[in-house]
Amino acid sequence: MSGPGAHLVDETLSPDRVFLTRERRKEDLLHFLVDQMGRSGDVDDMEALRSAIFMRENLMSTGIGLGVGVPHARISSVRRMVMAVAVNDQPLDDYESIDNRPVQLVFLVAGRPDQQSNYVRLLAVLSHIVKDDARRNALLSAASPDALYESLLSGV
Amino acid sequence: MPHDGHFGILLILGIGVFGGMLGAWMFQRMRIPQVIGYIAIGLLIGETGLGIIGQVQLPELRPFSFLALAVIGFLVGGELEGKTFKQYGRQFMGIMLGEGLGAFFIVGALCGGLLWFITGNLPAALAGGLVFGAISSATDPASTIDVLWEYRSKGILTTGLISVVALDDALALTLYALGTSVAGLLVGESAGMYELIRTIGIELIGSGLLGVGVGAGLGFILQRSHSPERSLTLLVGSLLLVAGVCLSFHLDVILCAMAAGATLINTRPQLSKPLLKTLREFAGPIYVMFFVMVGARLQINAQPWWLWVLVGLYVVGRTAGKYGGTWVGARLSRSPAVLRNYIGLGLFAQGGVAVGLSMMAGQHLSNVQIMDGLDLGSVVVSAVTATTLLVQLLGPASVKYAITKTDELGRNVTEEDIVAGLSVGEVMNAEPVTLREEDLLTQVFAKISNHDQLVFPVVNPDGACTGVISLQSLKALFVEQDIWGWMIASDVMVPVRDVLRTDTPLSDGFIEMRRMEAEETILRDPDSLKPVGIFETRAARREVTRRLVQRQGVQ
Repeated sequence: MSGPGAHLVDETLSPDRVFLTRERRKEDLLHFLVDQMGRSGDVDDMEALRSAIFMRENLMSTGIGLGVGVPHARISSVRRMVMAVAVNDQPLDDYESIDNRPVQLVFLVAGRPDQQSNYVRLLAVLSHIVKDDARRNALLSAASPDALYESLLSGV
Repeated sequence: MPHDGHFGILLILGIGVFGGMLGAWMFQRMRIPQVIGYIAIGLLIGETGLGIIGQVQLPELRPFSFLALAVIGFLVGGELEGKTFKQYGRQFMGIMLGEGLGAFFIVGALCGGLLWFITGNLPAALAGGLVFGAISSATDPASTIDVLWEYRSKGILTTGLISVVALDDALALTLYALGTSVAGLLVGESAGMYELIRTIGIELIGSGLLGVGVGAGLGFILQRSHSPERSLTLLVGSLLLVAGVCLSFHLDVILCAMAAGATLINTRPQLSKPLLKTLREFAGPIYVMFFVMVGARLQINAQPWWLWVLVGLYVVGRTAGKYGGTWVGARLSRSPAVLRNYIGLGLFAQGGVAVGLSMMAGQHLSNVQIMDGLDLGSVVVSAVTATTLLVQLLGPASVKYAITKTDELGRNVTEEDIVAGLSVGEVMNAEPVTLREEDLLTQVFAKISNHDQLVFPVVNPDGACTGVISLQSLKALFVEQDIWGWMIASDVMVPVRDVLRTDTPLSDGFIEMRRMEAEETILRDPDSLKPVGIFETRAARREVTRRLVQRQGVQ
């Protein structure tokens, strides 16, 4: 992977926060990812993160189109910017998105309020990755979490 | 009561300053110049009133009065900038001669006529008329200028008043010298004529020369002093010396100090302006005490009925002479209408010089009996004291009327004065454009490009401000247009820092913004958290400048 901000994916993602899931509702998938994020030592207050993520979804769904969702929030109880990724076995119909396509690939991002610049850059990098059809399809077809992780980091 | 039955000098000074401030406060509430309050309190605690300051203590307080006169004289001199004289010198000189001679002739004729009518003694009446006329030509610079400073007056009338009151003491002294000499001739005391002219000539020239020397010397030393405290100490020391030397050599303290102030402002303007400002602040209690003592010194004793007629004629004649003389002098010197019509109203105050001259006349004319048991000297002293009381109460009010009518009141303001009178709420943008939490960044950028606000409050559906978006915080997003279509205002806003309230004094607002190193901030209602305005330091400064220009007006 290359380009400005590409290193941010490496810095914020770790193999233990990459998942292949079998959820049926958006809400369940988000709870699952928040729970997993909460187990890492980078989130001091998991409930604060959960509340921030759902508050943001209440304002406007984070389905950004092309079957991708990017739930995200900035809160002070996160030690550093972190990310969790999930590919669900089926697209989630209740995950509203700007092109009305159901969401299957989800990046959950949590950052600190004072990390505005890197936060924006990471979201832009994710947007850039999923707009590439080949890369998006490679991510969606990953056979295991490790393969998904490798695919994200190394590109196609 | 103190053990010796008298109040100590320090206690009197304390009572004087506190009482004076109280009087000033009460009179200011009635929109009457503070100086009248000082004098009224003086009257109250003087012999005429409660007798706290009696004739016993007054001589002990005299050195203090001379220091006050030196400070006042110096400050008045500091107002006499040469460039003003270059522009209006002829007009101011014309007005000064007009008002001085107008008062001299009319008061002289009226008082002389009355004295002749009462006593039938023509030489004594003429002598009295000359002396009253000469004394009436002086204007009190201290109380006049106190009013101008109190009301922060600025403009051609203000400059004219300062110049004329500063200069007409010299005219009064000259007229007095000539008048008393002729009076001496008329009543058969010609022996003293040459001596008197010589003495007053020395007084005028000596005071002027000493003042110029002190001013030049001060300028030389001050240029080498880089500490404001040391400069003030040096200046006060010099003024004490001026007062002391003038007393020892019978020179005029106020003229000498005035010459020193004028010399300093015209030779070292940059150096002297901050120093004069500091001296003015330092002079506050001295001023108060000086005028309280002026009031305390005024005595109204039992006098013959016609003395009150004389007092009335003097006041009416002096008022008419000053106003009429000013009008003629202004007309002849082609002064602007504002000077011609109003400067006369600002020249009624009568103070130290007039009282001082009446004391001298009291001695010179004490041998001239005009009635059984009544000498001309005593008549002059009593009448001038009574008239001083009257015009000192009317004069400052009249100065205020003149500067109000000519719209010069309140124009001598600085940026700091404007800032001091404002709150943050008065200069903020009270109708800020807001963003909604759920506005997409495409909408955010569209809104920002249509308004010249630097920060935007972000509000929730209840209207409460939950964050702020500034142009600064959007910088990182300019190049990431991919995400504008799905990120919203809430994603990029930063928390609000409630550092200012609408009632925060503007000066505190500027300090707080400097401390935060911020240029703009949002103000929220403390209860509803709705945004009530945006404070932008640059816009606030512009508003202050606009108000300053408006207050100062176009002169």
